[in-house]
Amino acid sequence: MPIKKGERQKAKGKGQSKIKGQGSGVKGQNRVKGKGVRVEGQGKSKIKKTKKPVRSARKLKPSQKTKLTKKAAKARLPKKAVGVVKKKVVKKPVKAVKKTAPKASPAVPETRADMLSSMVHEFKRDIMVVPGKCNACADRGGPQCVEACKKAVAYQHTEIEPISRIIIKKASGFNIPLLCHNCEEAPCMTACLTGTRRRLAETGWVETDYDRCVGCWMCVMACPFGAITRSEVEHVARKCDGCTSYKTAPCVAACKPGAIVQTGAYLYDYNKRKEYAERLGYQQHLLGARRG
Amino acid sequence: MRYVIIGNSYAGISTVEAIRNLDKEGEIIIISEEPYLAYGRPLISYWMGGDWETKHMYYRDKAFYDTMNVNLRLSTKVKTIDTKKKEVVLENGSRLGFDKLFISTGGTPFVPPTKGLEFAGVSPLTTWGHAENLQRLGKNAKRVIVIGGGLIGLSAVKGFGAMKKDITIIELSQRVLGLALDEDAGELIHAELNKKGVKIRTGRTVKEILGNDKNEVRAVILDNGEELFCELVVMAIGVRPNTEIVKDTDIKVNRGIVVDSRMETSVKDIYAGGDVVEAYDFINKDNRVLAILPLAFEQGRVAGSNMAGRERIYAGGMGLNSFPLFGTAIMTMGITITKEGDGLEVMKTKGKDTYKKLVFRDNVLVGVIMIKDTNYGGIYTSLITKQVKLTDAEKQMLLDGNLLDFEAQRESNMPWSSMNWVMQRPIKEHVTGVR
Repeated sequence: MPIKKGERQKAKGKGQSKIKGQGSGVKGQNRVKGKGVRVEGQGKSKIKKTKKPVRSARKLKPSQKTKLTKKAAKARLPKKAVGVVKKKVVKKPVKAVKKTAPKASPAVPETRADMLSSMVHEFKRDIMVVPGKCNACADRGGPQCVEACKKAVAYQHTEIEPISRIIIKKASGFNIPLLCHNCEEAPCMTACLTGTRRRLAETGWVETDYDRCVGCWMCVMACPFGAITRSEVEHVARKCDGCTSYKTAPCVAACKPGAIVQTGAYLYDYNKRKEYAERLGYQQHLLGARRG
Repeated sequence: MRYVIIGNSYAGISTVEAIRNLDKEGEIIIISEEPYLAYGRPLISYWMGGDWETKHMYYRDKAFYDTMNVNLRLSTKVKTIDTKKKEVVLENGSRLGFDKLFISTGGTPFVPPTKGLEFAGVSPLTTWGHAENLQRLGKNAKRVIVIGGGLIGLSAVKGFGAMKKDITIIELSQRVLGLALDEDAGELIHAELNKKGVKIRTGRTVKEILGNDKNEVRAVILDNGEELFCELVVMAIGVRPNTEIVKDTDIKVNRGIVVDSRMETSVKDIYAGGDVVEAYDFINKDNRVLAILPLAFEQGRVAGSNMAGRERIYAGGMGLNSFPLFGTAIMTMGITITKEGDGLEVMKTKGKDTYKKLVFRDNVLVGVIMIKDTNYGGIYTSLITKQVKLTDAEKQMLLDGNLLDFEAQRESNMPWSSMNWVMQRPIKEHVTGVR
């Protein structure tokens, strides 16, 4: 926040001084306004970067957003600013942007694998459940995440109907989606005797090469969450493999009530704090002051 | 820092992974007696029967050793360990110094002294080499005798069953898998084996193995004098910890290598894990040899972490196994065989070809047998390992209800700490907003 304010003030101050010096009247003023807006825009883009995970709480596409904002910061803004201004005085804020931008995010991932691996470290792309939000899509005729999951994994099943990796059960009056939690030291990985169920460094998920699954049910015996399904006809143990080839997992995209979310460490932290902040009432206060 | 790991199987691999988690620079050397990269040991019976491709045998591929920066020495045999000088003595006489040593030599097949073991066609089945040998010999064989009805014996049955051989199991106790299954479960498995044409002789041992003039196996003679003709004999009586290399050293050996809770042996900087050690069993509350795959992996992880300098304690394990025999899945955990007067509570259900037995001690689940219907058995495992006190209603639910219902019930009652950001609050509070 303070950076933004400072920049705006600087820009305004300089603009005014220019007008006085040049005496070019209305045009000059317009230009200055334009500059002001642009500088603000740059400021916003900066803030977007720092708060990026916050904004994308619902439809998280961190990869896209980083790309867009970085492109915007790198490509669009400096060109325009330079093109319009062409004066020594105004170049300063532009420089400032160029300097600060790389600090906030050191490298733009080039390939999808790079992006995912950076996400693993930065976001830990996980699929998590928000308690109590699941209504089993009563208004939409059956759980949509289950349908989406079946559709997404259909290519793996040639012999039988697709098996959903999410199962929704009712307990104490609530719908509980049961799915893989992608454990840190996953018991299924520990117990796997062929070594096919293992954490991949590129995606951060415990994934399975089903060609190498022998159907010994060791992982079924090890998983404490009942997240691994025995597919007896195919003789392999099926589990949610995170749909890591998708930016947003299909089940998450299909979940309208927001019960299944794709989140990571930052988001997890942020939302937790937000919960506490809401209890304190800060957010209400801020909203009230802003909206008058 | 130089880490030397003896044994290139599950425990050794997990040790490497644990070390590399903490120490990216140290030198790691794996010494293996076998000429292969790490392979799925229980897969050898599938491979022998032709159900499993060679390229899918490997537990970790070549790239794993490269990324982990491991110096792999295959076909290298260790003679002994010089604990004073901190050196491993190899069989060719050369010495290899170490800062930290991990011993995971696994088990060797136990072969009782019997007449006629030297004939061609008598083999154990614990390594890929054995499986290769048996597959080659099996091409000309029609009748196979499997001595011992344990897990290895049944693996052999599975492999030769796929090769369409005439198989006879000779088992000393009253049923196959005698250590894990009770009478009812044994009956089901015997029925399944008979259906597949496998003959079982229980309560019998082999007195002598007979050979022909080409030094090939011809027949076996049982202890009641009966003579069974065969072309192959698989010795699958059991596995003993392979403590050969530590025999004349300071390292303390009981039945297996004795280790503490950090998987360290009686000698400093020498660790051990896997089938060769006597580790803590939290159900029987003592140290014993548990030759089980997930436990070997866990022990390796604990040892690796300690070797790289971060202390970690092995919580203990229990006997558990999952074994698909033809179409019948068998899953056993913890204490499964009960006697009268041992204070254990038993609940059973029995279907046409399914069976489920739960064993409780002071309302805590301590043992399970599941036959055929083994879905979501891990929920039982977690209840045993966490030693959860159960109510009568919960016990009944575990016995006849769907396990997923139980899991959903458990999650709905739980403070939602493990799964999401609404920490420390049960679901009801979250939804209603009442605290």
